Amino acid sequence: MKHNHNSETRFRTVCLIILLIFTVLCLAPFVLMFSASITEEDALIKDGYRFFPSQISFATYAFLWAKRETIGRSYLMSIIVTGLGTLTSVIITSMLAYPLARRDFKWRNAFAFIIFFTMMFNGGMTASYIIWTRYFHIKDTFWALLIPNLLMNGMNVLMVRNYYQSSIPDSILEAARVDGASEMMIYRRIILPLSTPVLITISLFTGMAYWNDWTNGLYYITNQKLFTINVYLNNLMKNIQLLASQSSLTEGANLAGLDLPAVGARMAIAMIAVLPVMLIFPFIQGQLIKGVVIGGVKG
Amino acid sequence: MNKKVISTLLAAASVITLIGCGSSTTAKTDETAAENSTVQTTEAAAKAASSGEGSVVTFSYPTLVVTPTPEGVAPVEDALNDYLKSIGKNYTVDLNPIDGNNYPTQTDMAIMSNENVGIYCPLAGLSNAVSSNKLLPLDDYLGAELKPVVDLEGDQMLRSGKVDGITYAMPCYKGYILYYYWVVDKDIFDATGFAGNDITDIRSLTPILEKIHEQNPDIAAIAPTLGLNGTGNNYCQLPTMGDPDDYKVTDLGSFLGLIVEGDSTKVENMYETQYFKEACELAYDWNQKGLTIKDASVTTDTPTDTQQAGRAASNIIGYGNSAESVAAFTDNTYAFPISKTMMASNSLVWGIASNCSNPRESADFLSLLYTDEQVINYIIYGTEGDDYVVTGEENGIKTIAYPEGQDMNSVPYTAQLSCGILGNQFIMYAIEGGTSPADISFMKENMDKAVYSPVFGYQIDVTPVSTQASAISNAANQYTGGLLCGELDPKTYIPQLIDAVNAAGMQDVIAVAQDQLDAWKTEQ
Repeated sequence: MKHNHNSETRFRTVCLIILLIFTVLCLAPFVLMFSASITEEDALIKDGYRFFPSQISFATYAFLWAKRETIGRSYLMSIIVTGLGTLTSVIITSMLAYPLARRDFKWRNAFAFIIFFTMMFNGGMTASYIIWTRYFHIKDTFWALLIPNLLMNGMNVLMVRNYYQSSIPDSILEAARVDGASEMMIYRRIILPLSTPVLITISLFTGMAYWNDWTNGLYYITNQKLFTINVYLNNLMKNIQLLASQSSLTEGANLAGLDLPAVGARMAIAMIAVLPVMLIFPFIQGQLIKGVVIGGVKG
Repeated sequence: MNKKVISTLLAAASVITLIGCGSSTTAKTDETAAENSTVQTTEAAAKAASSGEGSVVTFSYPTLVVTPTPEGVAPVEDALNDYLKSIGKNYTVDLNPIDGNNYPTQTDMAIMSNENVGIYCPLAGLSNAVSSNKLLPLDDYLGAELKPVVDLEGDQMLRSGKVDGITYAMPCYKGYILYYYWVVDKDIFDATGFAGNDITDIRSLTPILEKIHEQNPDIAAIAPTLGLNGTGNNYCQLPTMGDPDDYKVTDLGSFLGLIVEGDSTKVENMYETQYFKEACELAYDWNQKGLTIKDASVTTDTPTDTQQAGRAASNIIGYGNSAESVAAFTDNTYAFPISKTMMASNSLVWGIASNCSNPRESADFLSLLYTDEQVINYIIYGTEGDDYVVTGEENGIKTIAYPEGQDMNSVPYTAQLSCGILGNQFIMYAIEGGTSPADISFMKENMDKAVYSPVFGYQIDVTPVSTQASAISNAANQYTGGLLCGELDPKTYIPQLIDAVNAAGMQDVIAVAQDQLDAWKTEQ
């Protein structure tokens, strides 16, 4: 008994140390990023990145505040796109996954195959672009940020289907049917509440994908008012990189007099870009693990 | 028997119905497409009609850092169109500014899907745009609409807009000739006891840098310049040593390490030349003597920032501006010229998209970008009063500034940073803090006296060897930064680099480039 207890403690200690190392590895870049964003610009270049800033300055945040109109707008755009996109995506994903999980649905394998097919193959960039812009006319509209690539994901559908199949027993559905519940009612009153963990999991995946996406902005958006924070940040960094290097585009233009955001400001923008994700994550972490384990491994 | 006939007929009928269905759907799609295009054209026509004019010329141009919003563009567009009407043009212009980072992708995609792009700059490469049919040949307009541009730029300059002898684009006209300056902190340089005329070329810097290092052991004597597209940081040895008074090297582009030297047109593997070897040895020597910053090959800080932060005493940087202006860009510095480039290559050219419906009007407007002061300044600086105010005149060039309390980020419209990308820089106004009127004259003079590379106008088309080409740049990128920053010993690593690029297919690419170049030469 005592021996067992000892080995248990030893096991826990080893686990704890390993996890601690991983935690530090994950946290360190964030700390470094934050520290860089509050370091005085010249000190940052002179002394490099440090965990404790050699000279603290909030000038970079003041710069962001001065640009609050553009940055604020992009930030708001990101929040709206992510919120609406995630909500819509989760609803339609679960509504598609539910019939696929029902054993009495004759075509479920055919549909599952079609969904699986989209995970393997797609029409390629040019074809998709033509379809979206010429037939759906989403270029330079809000829809361009919402729909292409992100709204539905085969992986998520199959994950939700697996969850329904493995964790919601058929007998519950039968009981409901005996009690006179309609299909819609079964879905709304029984399926949805019982599948919270997996829905939260895919919400997180989809939400992250929406929040971090800048490719739709790259292809479909020219109006700067529709830029999300990551599109804005990506363009700003690429532009500055171009201006900083000796490029033929800028020969003849005098760039020395420009007040361009330097390293620190870019770190500060990155900081505010990851902030919402960091704030939301702790609250859904528990459900997330459950959803991934049940939805992913079984079935 | 009857049954069989009937069933065949029925089957045939159903097939016909299906076909009918099919064609009606197609017809419907066509209709929708037609409808949509009508919607677009009506929109355009309505716009044109409202100003009482004919066709609409679309102008898609890249902007950097700040992209004006549609609300910002509208008044500028109106003012520009009023102006065009006043000078008797029978078309209006639709301005379409696109963020520079998205520009190449969005214009390419748009042309492929038959959207209206109009006048644009094929940033992904002229030969590439021509081989994928994205550009309209301009030969028909050279004698008429584009005549003023031809006269302005001259035949030699226009070569960079030609592919297979056909003109597809007009080169941007600006101060392409760069001086490479050694920019050094005043106090530090004065303390060394050297004088300005001790500096003749990049090699002459070594003893001065050593002295600086000896007197200021705490800071680096020189900061590296950032490389573009993963080519690795460097000390600008390649452009400075490649100037017409030195090795006279023309880089054939696409980051392949293909060059021609002197007045020869023989394509060489740069990594095997004495030129590249000397460039690496110089850096290695500096590195071994401890003259440079520790993370030279990987730093992402610009040399100017590094110097201003007090981490390095000097840096080398290329500018079209005069030495006095460059010295004034940063506090308390001298700028000594160490080399002057020749017209070696130019990829900044403006053409008309192949799907353009009104090429003649577009060509006419393209020409105005080079010849009409009003037009180009509307596009670069917007409208007077709202976007800028006139402060005076110098050397015959109007000087302007942003309105009181405003800057680049806050005015409704500006494309200030596109001044080196489009049209004719020499007729643009000079904005406060930007290129000064004196510098504009200085650049113009340098352009008029420019030395041209023997292969100016030739552009490599890597399409036939694209696999080898990307393998070569990948292989080379692993070494170039380290070699050009002096962190790798040239004795060991240049041979490795040569082996790597040869394994990646350097010989194939050289053969293709040589064939293309010979064909190009015959055409001239």
